[in-house]
Amino acid sequence: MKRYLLILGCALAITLTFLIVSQRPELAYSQGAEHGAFSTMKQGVDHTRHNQGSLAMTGWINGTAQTILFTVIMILGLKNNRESRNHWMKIIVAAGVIYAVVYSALMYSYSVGDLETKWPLGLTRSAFLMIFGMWVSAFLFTVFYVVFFKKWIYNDEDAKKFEELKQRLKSGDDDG
Amino acid sequence: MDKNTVILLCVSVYMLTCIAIGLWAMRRTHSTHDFFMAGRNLGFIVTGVAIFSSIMSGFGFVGGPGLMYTMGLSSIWILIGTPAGIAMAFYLLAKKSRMVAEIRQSMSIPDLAFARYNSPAVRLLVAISILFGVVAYLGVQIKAMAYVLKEIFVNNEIWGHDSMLFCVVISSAVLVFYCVTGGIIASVYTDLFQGIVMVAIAVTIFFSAFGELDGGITACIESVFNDDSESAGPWGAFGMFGCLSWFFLFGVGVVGQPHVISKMMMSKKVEDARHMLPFTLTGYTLTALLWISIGLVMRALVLNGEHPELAKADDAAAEFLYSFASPLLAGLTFAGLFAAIMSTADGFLNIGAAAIVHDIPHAIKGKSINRELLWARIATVGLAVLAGWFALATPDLVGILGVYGWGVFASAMAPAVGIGMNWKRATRKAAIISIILSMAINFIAMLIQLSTGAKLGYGVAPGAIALGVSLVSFVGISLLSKPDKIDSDIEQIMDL
Repeated sequence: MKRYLLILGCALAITLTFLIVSQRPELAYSQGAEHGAFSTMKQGVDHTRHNQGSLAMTGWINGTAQTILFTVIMILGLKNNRESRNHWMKIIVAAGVIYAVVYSALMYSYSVGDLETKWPLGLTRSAFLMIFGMWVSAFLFTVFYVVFFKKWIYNDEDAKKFEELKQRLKSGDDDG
Repeated sequence: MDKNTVILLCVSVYMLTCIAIGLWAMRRTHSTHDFFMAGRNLGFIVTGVAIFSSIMSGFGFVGGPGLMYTMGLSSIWILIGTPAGIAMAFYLLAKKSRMVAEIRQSMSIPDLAFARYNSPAVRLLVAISILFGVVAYLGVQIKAMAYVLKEIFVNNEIWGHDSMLFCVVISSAVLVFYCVTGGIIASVYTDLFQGIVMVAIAVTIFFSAFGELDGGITACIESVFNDDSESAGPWGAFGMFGCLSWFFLFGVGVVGQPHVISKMMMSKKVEDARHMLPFTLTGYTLTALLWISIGLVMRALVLNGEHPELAKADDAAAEFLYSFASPLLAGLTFAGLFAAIMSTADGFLNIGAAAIVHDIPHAIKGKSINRELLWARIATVGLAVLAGWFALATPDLVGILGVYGWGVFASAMAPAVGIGMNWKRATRKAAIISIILSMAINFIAMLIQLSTGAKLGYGVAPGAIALGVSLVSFVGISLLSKPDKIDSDIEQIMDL
């Protein structure tokens, strides 16, 4: 039950923050502005454009709720017996925490005025965290899926039960 | 041989290969089960590649570089949200959809939804939402194909090059041919071929594009940063909330994409899912390199004064290929553009035909129509004609319809099918209401945008709101309503 309350809570937080923000008066450069020299390009112009009012905090709540929602949605697809749960609980929750922390670090770096391109490929810290941190965090879930497939998703015993179910259906012993 | 001739040659060879695969697949298509589900006999490499190539559509290879060129790094949120979404789709559906498909002989997502909720109304609503989304999305793909073909015809001065109708007919003819003859078997094997072409091209273009600037990728990002630090920052020019709404819509939204779920149902063995996911994710990530590299390099080249400004942002890919790529690379990449578009369009044609000849009659009459395979082929042609007409008759509408299509799939099916297959407490009442709400919100948002031009503030995508409302209503109503009885076989699968 708790997982569904978490999904409900995160979905509510995400939807409400989008709704509230989308109804606010548009602040300058919030969606960028036309480039001064090239009409087919846009510019963000002002680095402090997201630091006005509660925008940055709302963005942090929204993005953090998304990282939690993504993690809980993946947990829904896992085997839920005690043996499996004991194995996946700490690992996947840790991955979810990493996901949320990377996003929070990105938001913090951006909001304190991140204008130095010292990170690899000439990126700012927040851009680096966005491209590599957020992608690698999501990639972790893929690694877990492959490595722990037999413990978390589908093992030989499940395959046996599925075969038995098919046999029962074939012989008409099941009401499916 | 000049560049234009090489491009035309490469695209012609590509098209002929697709036709050959269609003819080969025709000999393996004997029933509607073969036509819609490939006899559930696909290996994990074919399925894994087919899934990523159908996700990375014309939007990715034509629109993606355009977005990078216009807004800087903003659209990377789509590229980091989608891999998370692919993982979510596998966790939630790869095992269960495959098992249900086997024990119920399911041929489509509405079949899956019917098995879960035991409700013709849910089946009908899922089929209708698929049909609406398919026509919208297919229109975009056909328009993109015609657009790319027109570029080639204009440069080769081929007869009829200035007619959009001519380009739509020629480009759709190949697609329709292999979809009608070989059904989903042709679709997934062309997807395999198309996926390999896409990966090879994207990786080559990535290195070639950044090689155009002294200092490579670092110099490119520096040029963008020096012009406007925000465009090289995490939100690009588009801004925080637009990016976050993309992250949400293209993340959770993947779970509801019918061309992804239906391919999961076609694999040979349940345990193949374990090996499919790495192929899907790697393929998607590698093809995303084309999106990033061409868009960013064209922005830097224009800013540095090394290339004139583009007439339209969506010209970024074509302009780069004509101006900077070698003839062979340009030719192969144009073939890759067609591959990206057609690998998505073929899946939609098949899913849409299934909704018309299989799902809607089942939901209304409770049984199949006679000569289902013949009607499936006729419906495939009909859908392509309808989508082609849409693309021609409503040129300004097509972009909006594409976004509408993805939004409808995401918000209608991610909760009801993705979460519903993993949560016994989910009820059919919740599924019905969440699907209706998601279609209504997307439709109203599209109508408002078309009639008044009004958009949500801060760049928030309407599809993200629809997905959020659909999720909240689905979980909330399920918790508040009386639990339904689930068929014993489906319940046993949900327990595994």
